[in-house]
Amino acid sequence: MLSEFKTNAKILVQGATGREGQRAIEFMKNYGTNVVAGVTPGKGGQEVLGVPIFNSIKEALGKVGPVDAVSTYVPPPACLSAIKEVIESEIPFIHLITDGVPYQDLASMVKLCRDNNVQFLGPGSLGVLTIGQGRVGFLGGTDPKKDYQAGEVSIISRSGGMTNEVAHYLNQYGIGLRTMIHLGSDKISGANVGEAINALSQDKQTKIIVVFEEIVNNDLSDLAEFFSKQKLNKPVIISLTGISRNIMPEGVSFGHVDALLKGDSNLLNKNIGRIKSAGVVTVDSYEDFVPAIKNLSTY
Amino acid sequence: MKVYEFEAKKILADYQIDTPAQLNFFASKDDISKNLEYPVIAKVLILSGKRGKRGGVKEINSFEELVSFYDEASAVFASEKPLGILTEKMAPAGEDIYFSISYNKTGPILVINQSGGVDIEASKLASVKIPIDPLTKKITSKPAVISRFKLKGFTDKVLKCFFEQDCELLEINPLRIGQDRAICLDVKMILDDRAGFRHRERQLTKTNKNLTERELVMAEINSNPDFKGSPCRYVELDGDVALLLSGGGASLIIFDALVNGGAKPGNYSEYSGNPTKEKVEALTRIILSKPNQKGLLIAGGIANFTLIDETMAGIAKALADVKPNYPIVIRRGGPNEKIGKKIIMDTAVKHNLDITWLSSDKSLKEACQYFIEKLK
Repeated sequence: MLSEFKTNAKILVQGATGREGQRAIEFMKNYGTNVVAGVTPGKGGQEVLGVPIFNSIKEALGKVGPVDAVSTYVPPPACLSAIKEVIESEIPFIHLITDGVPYQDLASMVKLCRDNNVQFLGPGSLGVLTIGQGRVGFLGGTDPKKDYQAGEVSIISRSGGMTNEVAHYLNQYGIGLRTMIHLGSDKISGANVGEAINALSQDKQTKIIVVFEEIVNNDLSDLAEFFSKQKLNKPVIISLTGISRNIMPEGVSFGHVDALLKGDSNLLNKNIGRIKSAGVVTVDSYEDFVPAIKNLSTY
Repeated sequence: MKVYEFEAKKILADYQIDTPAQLNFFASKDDISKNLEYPVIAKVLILSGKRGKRGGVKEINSFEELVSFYDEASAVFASEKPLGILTEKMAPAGEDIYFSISYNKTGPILVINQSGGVDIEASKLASVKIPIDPLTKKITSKPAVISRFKLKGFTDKVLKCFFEQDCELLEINPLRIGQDRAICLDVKMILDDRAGFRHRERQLTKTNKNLTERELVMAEINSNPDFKGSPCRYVELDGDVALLLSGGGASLIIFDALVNGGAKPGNYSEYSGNPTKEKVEALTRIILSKPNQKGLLIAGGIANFTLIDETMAGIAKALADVKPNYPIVIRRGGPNEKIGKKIIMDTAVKHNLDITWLSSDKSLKEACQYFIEKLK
């Protein structure tokens, strides 16, 4: 699901009758996603935009058969038990939109998913979209059909707004898109930038990967480590944002939740060096993606 | 939230974790008891670190000495608005180490360093880092340092406290290794605010003394269940440009562009997700209430699902009421953008406000450059 959103992939929505769940079903369906079932305990028998609602995942799967992924819209206190239900149902992919899940619960979810080989996108993720094939979540906004043209560039970001912003910007300059992945930006997360790059490396139709990355309290050690071990099979361009962190008071959360201001500039610069020497192109701002892409011999 | 040391120590005591004896808290000079058994260790109650180095911790031998420590510490730490002082008995001698549980990117982790009492980043000794299984709530290996300092029972109790209390950080530094037990001389406890729904009965001293008046109002709105939707952030800064930003990533780009362009932000504020119009209106009112601002930038990326009409309706209501006379620039796209723009521009006409709505074809950086020009 991270390498591409496959046409006709079957999606089950958890928390389907709530405000965000209903909107998500609308967003997914209007982009052609095959939403086969919704689950809200106690609301079984209802329908949301023609999608049948069940009381449990087990009940839903009994009726509609296996699904490829679950997209979750339940409030923070209910997330851990919701994720456990998905894992027990042996569904291979979870997308979780919810923000503000207690750290203890998040750590448990990440561990459970890892132990059971379930791919976990989130928390706080707006989803994945592959142009012309469908999407899970809200990613791409109201009308991606109108807004985006198909192409060969895939986008990875921990910021939802910026995934969409970058997509618009590339589109404005005539650069077509393949897949957009919003990872979410919590302190403890499922899929990270490295995993997303690995996934997109498997997709033949992705020719170029662009990554919007933040360097507030992120010394890029993980990415530097990833690139030093991973051989890239396609060009990767990364924009690094957050240089103005120095004017903020210490301890203030800036940018995303995990972006507490506490950075080691020397280590950051060293890691940027390591990333560059692995053949990755780094740019200062997402506007610079356009010339960087056009400069590539493969473009 | 951060927990004051005397309250953190009481929580530890509930788990039979040893802390120095005879803990007392005095909120004012008049409260100081005349019946203490000296010597005691006295500490000023503030929330920032390196207190010892700055004279905030002292061995005291008499009531008179304690009163003068109170006066000195109140003066030295005035800017941090101390809550008062605590006193406790001196712990028996022994080796001091560093012991903490926190979360890293993959989950909970126990860190032990054999040089206790100092800044852990400055320690020359390597730390032992042991991942904790969040499901069993146990450490995944038993390094030699745990048996060497006889910390097995202690570690179990601290782990129980950490998870039951939903801590985000529990740092014991120094941990005094005594003859027969380990004693927590100082404790830094940060509770996971997100888990507040599991601890509604908890009553702790609020640690918001260092917030500005406006930041306090924002904190109150965020904790008020009547204001539904994602929390809004407001941090006051020294500059003269008001900001109302949306999206974590976009707010960073905008900040970078403004600072690089020479503008001085008067605040950092940000909302994401789908806050209600009432909440966005409240945030806007807080931003507009700061005096001596030269302009207001309302900006964010092209939203995926934040409703632009809903959020702009909140902003428009505050603008119509306060009627700021400085230039306002807006750059924002997303669901129901056209309706949002109409709401704002109708307000501008009706109240004669200087508002420019930029198209999303202008990048965030270009929008910031436009705004900076407008300020001149």
